[in-house]
Amino acid sequence: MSISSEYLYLPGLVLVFLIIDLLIEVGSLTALLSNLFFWLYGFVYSVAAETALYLLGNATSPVIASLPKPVLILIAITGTTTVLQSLTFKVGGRKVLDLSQHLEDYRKKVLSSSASLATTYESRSVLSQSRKILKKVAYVPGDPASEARMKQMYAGVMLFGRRDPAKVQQEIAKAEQICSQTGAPFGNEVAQRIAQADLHFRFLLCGDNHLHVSGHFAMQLDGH
Amino acid sequence: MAVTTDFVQAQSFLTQNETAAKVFRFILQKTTAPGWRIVKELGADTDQTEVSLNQMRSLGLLESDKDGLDGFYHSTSLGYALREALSLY
Repeated sequence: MSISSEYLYLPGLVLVFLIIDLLIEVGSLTALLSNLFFWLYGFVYSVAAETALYLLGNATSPVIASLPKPVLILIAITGTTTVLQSLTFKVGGRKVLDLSQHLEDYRKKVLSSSASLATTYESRSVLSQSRKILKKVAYVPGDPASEARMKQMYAGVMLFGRRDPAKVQQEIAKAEQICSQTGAPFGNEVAQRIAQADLHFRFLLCGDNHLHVSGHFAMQLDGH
Repeated sequence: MAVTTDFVQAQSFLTQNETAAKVFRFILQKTTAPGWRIVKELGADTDQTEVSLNQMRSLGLLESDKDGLDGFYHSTSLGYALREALSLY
């Protein structure tokens, strides 16, 4: 028994539809495609769409069955989505079967687990960016000039809006305290925080001659 | 998602807390965001933002890999359900 070609590429079209649908909400294609829950979701959808296509092509009236294949595929995908999103069976006002709710809950699980994966990828990017920052400023752990430079950079990134320089100073002091407790280099802590606040680090890209540190803050740093 | 106590509590919290709603909307837009980026991009107060993030986490709206502003935050299933209910797009 040979399988018509439309049955072979229908799962691909279903996946494209689901990627578009979920990408609008989750925003990260890598996170979505590396999520096992997404592929299970796609599998269930594909099985339902294949069934719908089979019924349209074989078990309906000849008028519908004779429609062009692309039209049948479109009806199969939209029909499957419509049915799965609204399949509820009530008896005496009680929901006996509520498949749509289960599917909706599962969809939310796909979204949240994709967001969790996106978090993992984003934290890796931040770590990589913080290494680049340390490399670019040639940070030497324990060197007073390097430490002062990192403090200046931190201020340049964190003194946005109407933030109080004293507050930024407190944050630096807290970071120093954490580093003295953990033994981690101060520069690493600061570089990570800078990369967290501004992943693309436009501040650094401005060049070394553009360290916009306020006079008040510079004074506080000198006195620190 | 069925309307549960968690859902009602989270919904009530977001409708009454403007800062939290702003932070929550930002995280949904970005999918994931570190606390410090939220503070910087929204021009928000660090203490208020940290409190809001902790509250949303305890309500089950957000999850994070670390505590405070050093953590990366993303929405949970409950958060996505609430986004739909409150049309937070």
